[in-house]
Amino acid sequence: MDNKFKIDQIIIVIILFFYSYNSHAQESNNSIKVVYKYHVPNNGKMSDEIYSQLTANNEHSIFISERDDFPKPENRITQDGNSISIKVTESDEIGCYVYRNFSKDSIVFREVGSKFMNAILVVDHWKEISWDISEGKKKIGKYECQKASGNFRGRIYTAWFASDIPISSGPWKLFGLPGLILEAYDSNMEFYVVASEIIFNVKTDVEIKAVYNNNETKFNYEEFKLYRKNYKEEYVKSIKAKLPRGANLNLKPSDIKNSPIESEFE
Amino acid sequence: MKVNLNKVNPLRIKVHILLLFISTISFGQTHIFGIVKGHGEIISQANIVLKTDNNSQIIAYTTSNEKGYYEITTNKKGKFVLVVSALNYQPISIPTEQIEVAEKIEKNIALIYKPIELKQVIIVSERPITVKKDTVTFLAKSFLQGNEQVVEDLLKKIPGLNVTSDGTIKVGNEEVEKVMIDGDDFFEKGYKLLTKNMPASPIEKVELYQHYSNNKHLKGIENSEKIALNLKLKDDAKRIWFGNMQLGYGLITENRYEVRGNLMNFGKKNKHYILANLNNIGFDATGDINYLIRPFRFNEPASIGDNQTANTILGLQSETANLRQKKINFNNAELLSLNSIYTISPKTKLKMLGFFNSDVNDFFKNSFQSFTVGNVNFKNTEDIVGRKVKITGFGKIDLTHDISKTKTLEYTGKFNRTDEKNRSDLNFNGNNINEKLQSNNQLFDQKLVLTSKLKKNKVVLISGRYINEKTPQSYAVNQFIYQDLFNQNTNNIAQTSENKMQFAGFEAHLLDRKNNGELLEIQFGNQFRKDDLISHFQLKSNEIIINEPLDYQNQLSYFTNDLYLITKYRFKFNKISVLTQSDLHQLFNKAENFETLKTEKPFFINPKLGFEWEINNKNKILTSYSLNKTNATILDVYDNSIHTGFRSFSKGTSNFNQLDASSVLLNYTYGSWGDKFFANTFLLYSRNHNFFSTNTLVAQNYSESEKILIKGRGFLTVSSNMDRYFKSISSNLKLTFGGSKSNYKNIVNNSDLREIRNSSLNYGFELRSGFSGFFNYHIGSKWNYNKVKTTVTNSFKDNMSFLDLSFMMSEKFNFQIQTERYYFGNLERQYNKYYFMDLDIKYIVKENNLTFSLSGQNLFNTETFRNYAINDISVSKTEYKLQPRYMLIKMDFRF
Repeated sequence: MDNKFKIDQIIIVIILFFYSYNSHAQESNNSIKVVYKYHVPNNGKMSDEIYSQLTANNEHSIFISERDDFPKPENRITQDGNSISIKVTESDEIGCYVYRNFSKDSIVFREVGSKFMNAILVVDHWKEISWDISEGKKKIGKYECQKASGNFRGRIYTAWFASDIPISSGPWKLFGLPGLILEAYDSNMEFYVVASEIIFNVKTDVEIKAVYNNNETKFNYEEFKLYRKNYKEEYVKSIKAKLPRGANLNLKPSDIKNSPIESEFE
Repeated sequence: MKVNLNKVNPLRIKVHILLLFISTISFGQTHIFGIVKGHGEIISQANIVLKTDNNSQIIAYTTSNEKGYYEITTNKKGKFVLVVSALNYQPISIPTEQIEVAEKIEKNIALIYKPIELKQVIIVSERPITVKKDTVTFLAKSFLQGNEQVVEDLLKKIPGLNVTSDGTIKVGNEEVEKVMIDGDDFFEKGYKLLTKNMPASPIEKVELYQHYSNNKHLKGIENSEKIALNLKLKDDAKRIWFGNMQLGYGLITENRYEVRGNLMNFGKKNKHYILANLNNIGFDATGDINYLIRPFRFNEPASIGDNQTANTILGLQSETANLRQKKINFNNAELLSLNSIYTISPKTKLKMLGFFNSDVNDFFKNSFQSFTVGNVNFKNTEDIVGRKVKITGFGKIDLTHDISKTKTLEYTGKFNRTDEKNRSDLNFNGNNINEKLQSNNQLFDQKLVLTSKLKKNKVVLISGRYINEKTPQSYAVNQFIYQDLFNQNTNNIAQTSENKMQFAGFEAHLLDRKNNGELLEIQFGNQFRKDDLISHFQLKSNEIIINEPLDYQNQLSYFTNDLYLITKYRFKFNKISVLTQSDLHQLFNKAENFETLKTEKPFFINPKLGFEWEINNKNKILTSYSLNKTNATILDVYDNSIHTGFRSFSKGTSNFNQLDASSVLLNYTYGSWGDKFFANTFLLYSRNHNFFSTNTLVAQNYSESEKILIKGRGFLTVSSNMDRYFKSISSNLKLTFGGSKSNYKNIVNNSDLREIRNSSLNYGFELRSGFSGFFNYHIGSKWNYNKVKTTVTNSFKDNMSFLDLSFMMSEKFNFQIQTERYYFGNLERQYNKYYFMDLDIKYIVKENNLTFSLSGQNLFNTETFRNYAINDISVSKTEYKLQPRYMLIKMDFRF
């Protein structure tokens, strides 16, 4: 297993190297930058608001959050880590991102490290969500949006997309609709993201890139599935054991299982 | 790209795409394909959407690839519209011809370049969470999942709020101060009564206030880490009455019951809350509503007089075992409380609160004491059976009026009346003695506070308070055992005492927050207190008064007037805060006892210096030093003796006194609660430069003690605890360690000033599991070591261990077992170990609507419990009778 791991790591590094030096011409003004207010699942409900940005053009896109230079939420609701927060207050130089390259149909994502583990870099599957577009319509800002729903890795997402902005991108790993996704949430209201600002005609010479330093643990898709399965169980156990006498079991089993954003994998 | 499979197959199967390009072979599908170009170049990632003829419904969609090629398929028939759009190009709609059979249609698209003029668009939408400065607002409907019944269920779903199993609501490490409803609050820290009963449906928004101030004008000015919640009701929330009721009745044992009920109605203008509790299982319901009578506001501006209470001289059966009160409390209690809030006008609000409580407590205690003082040795046995009947009536009115936007006036009036009758049958060294004590309390308390906001960051509070409290007592003993003291022969004694307290205070408090965040506070005020202590001690023969010894009568009026000026300044440098404070006091004391009159006018300054340093995220140090001079109270100064309890007489110093003390405090915290490793160490050293000690004459049948002023008492306490989580056993280990040492001096039986050294040490551990399955354990043990050293050394070592097991068989059914073991090192082998077991079984028929539970207490039926204690002159063993085993079946329903 160790040897195989090393070879996989090398392959991953090569792939990444290739992506980060993607010297396609036409890095033009055709890019769009969207600022999203983003909430991830945090032990059965939404986390604090996280500032995130999507930069996209017709070749590739990157969705970044938890980067050091991003504004921290106006209000740090969780002060001393008393609530079970897996991600919220962490950030680093590079941040969490989801990088997608359309011509190669590839997704690479990175997660920031925490007290419990290193940052990770994963070469993910290009998974298209089969969206069901329904008739529901609503206005978000000045854009007329239509409703779509789809199933992705254990959650049912509802997304509102604006066909007036013809970019089939969206926040995080949600994409593939005939219009920019301006708002999305899951059926448990644990994941929620809404656009708050759109900037057109952005020059993106260097921004859209799968960057990494060398401290991350690198995974391919299969390795990542295994890693994800074990991590959440360990973390939650440690918190339950710290409760004082008399404070019994304030976590229901269902809360624990739904904590990570992706729980079933293809 | 979207893919439609084989039409021949009747089932529609969804396929997850793993390959980079698609190839499908389909029958009966129309393919529309082509190249998208614009401005001479191919356009990749253009949106191509196939819609129905009237342009309303999307049938299929795709995007062009890096070569500009797109392919869209459909198995529908009819006329369609192809809408093609791309960023910076003009979108076009191309109608198709009528499609009847599956065909391949090539449509190459040419788009016209139209660059977007816009640079930036801001989107504002109705979000589930909105943040504005210190207020976070949550839209209830975004978080309701449909299975919530009560407010607590909704709050559990709100991000950032932590609700524990017993209902405590916390944000981070801080518990919320109160849960308001449309800005009105009933219960302050007793909010659980509300969150566990009020339905969630009428709530529209939940607001979280940080850096909350109880006084709205102080917001942003005082340093506050407090947090409060506010529930905003829907406009059409009807005036409905709702609540819950819990009924419990004993199985197998005689006549045990517990009834609890809550009834509420929260309209927009007026709010009502009614609470009742009847029980005889040892539960003291007044503990729950104590926050209503004496709201504990620590260090808050305008809390003048909060610390003033009248003194009570006599109290029977004051010491209790080191055991949970419920186990030795034989009671029969009834409590009823009514609370209402009326909004008289948008500027005026009236809050009314009242409660009535009646309780009958029985107690049973056997004790054995062995005294060793110098050359005097004797032993006493006392067997007591007693009954206390206590009736309390309490009422409070709170009126708040906003004179203007920057001025608020608040009036609070309290009235309390308590009647207590205490009777005990005492067997003292073979003599049968009856004691009777009647104790009453009458309290009349008025407070007026005017808050005025002078500027944005400058507030002045002017408050006035008047308290009138009376605690008369009358005590009678039907035997006379003080022959050695009085040299007379009578057969009973009686003592009546009156203690009246009057307090009047006035204070002006200015808070000025500077632009750099530093805070200046100036307090100026005057507090006047008058205590009247009148005691009559009579030696009687049946009903005839034989003698009233002069040295045992008191008629003392003690006045203290304190004119003071306090200045505080809090500096801030980056991560360091420095607090400097100086209190100037000009006292005026007067004491009148019979004919003698004494006065004095001392002046003194109390300085304080505090220092707080947040080194980094993980390390924090807090240290402070203060010098404190306090004025003696009436109980320290009365001239003649008072019979303060069976066998004891005491007397004050009959002089004015001020006591000096200095203390140093150090607190170091490493890490925070959720970390893998967390440690907190606390150290306090305080030195009393002079203090009240006693000069006591101890004999078999009586002890007479007089307060004396002694120099030099030191006190040191250290406590430390640490937490570490071990992954291999999924459990958390907690270690605690503490110790204290004190030394002081006293005189006993005409000895010289003898030095007494007290030291104690405690250490313990706790191991708690965090298994995600149905079983969890919590085990712990704590050792306690105590030593008292005078010319003789007495010491003992005790241990308390526990093991709790919990089983969550399903979401509806769970049970808990709690076992405890007490060990007393110095008791005889057959009496030194005690075991207890309690069991709680719960079955939830419908969450928060109906629950059945079975509660068993003291399953091992341990009947008595012995305690061991030491002090500088004696060693005592006390035996208490315990509540016998009982099983209660309870039903809890909401309406």
